[in-house]
Amino acid sequence: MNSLKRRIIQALELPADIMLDLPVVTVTGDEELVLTNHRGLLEYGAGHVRLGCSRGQIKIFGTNLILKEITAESIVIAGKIDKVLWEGS
Amino acid sequence: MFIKLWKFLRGYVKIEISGFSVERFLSRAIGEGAVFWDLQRLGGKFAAKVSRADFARIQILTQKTGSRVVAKSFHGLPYLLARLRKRLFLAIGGLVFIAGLVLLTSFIWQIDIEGTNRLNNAEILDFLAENDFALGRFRHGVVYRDIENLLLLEFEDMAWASVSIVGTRAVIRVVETIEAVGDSRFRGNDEFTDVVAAKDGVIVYMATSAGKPLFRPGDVVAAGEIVVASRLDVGTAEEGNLSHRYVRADAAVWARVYYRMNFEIPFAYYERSFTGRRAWTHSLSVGGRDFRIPLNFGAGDDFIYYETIESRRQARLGADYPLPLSRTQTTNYEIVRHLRTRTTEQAQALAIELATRRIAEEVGENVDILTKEISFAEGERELLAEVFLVTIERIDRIQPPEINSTKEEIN
Repeated sequence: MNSLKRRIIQALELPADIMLDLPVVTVTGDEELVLTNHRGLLEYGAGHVRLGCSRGQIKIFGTNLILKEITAESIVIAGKIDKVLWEGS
Repeated sequence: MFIKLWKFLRGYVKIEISGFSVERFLSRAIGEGAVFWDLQRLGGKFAAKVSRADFARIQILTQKTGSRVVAKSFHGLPYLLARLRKRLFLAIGGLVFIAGLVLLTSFIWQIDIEGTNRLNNAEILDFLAENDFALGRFRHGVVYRDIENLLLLEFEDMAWASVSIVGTRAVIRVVETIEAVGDSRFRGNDEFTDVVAAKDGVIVYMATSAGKPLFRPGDVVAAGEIVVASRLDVGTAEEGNLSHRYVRADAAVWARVYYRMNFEIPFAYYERSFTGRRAWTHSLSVGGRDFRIPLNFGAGDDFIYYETIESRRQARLGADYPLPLSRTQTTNYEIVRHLRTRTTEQAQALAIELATRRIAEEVGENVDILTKEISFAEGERELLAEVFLVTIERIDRIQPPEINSTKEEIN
């Protein structure tokens, strides 16, 4: 079913992040990270942030991490970002 | 900027969240539509900001998730208004203050003139004041074009003028006309002109393109003498048909010019140095009136020798909104004088330095110097220096002729 849906999306050239509710990560240098389509905050500390996504989790490692803004759709993380890790389910 | 303003207008609360699983609480809260910002971990607690509306909404979730939310401070317009409701006179005072500022910024409190060189700024300001454009004028309703036209009509040396008002500051930019000295291209078509000598000298070269030459190379000419006349004789007196015609005389006149300059350099002189002691007073200027504050600061007023420096600071709202309020600090810096003497060599070096400076001022830089001699003579208390200078330079200047004839003769 999922495969069929993906093929339809590819055939119609529709944006996959919207149609499949996939997370989108935008990193600006090592200063700011914007994640859209998240499924909630799982863990937060000054050195790491763990976020739930539709097909796994995203871990962000760094120092002095601040959640500049967190809404139901997106999260903006500021600080010094060292590593972004994807863990599929 | 606008997001911050929006948050301020809506009101927000700085909160502190603690409990067993704060992340769970936050996820539930944002799932309910709450928005947090500037969230950071402070040890076992979380600090964040949340809007006024969301603050009320997340209170219910604290019980469900076992978290604790404490409001640390309240910010923004709704809370400010709530506080002011209890302090009516403060609110009125604030409104009066804002109204006063708006009123004060409706007038012109500074007029800057840019681009003047030959024109006198004070004369321009006086003329503007006569035409109802002075400090304290209401800035709305000023017709810029009218003022620009008035300026151009009044000042002949002004080729272009622009008036603009930025905040409470009026800026008048002008462009002056090009000086017509020594170049006939810039004269008016209907003007008759003589060519006169600007300096005493011996003419070495003359090229006349219009007018009647009265001198020739080798002649000695004095400053102000007509070198090429605008008046041409037509006919002769013997035949009884002598009349005159006037033209715009034009010529390039080069002459050998002699300069003699004398300098006196005293051997004894005072060297001044600051002691570091200073005394100062303040005065306030409100709407052009000065009020001295009767308080003296610093070391007192027992200085024998001192240098005075005045510094003025105008109250302003940003760069473009000067207000009619300024504070002037007058500071006297104490000086001590030490009697020193200079050697003959030092005096000669100073004389040469002064002579070089004066030559640059009086003679100019684009002049061929043929001879430059400096001689020294030692007096009892001073060194006497004499500079003799010979240059080759252009000395023609134009000036309107003195016409005593009738208009028919001129034409």
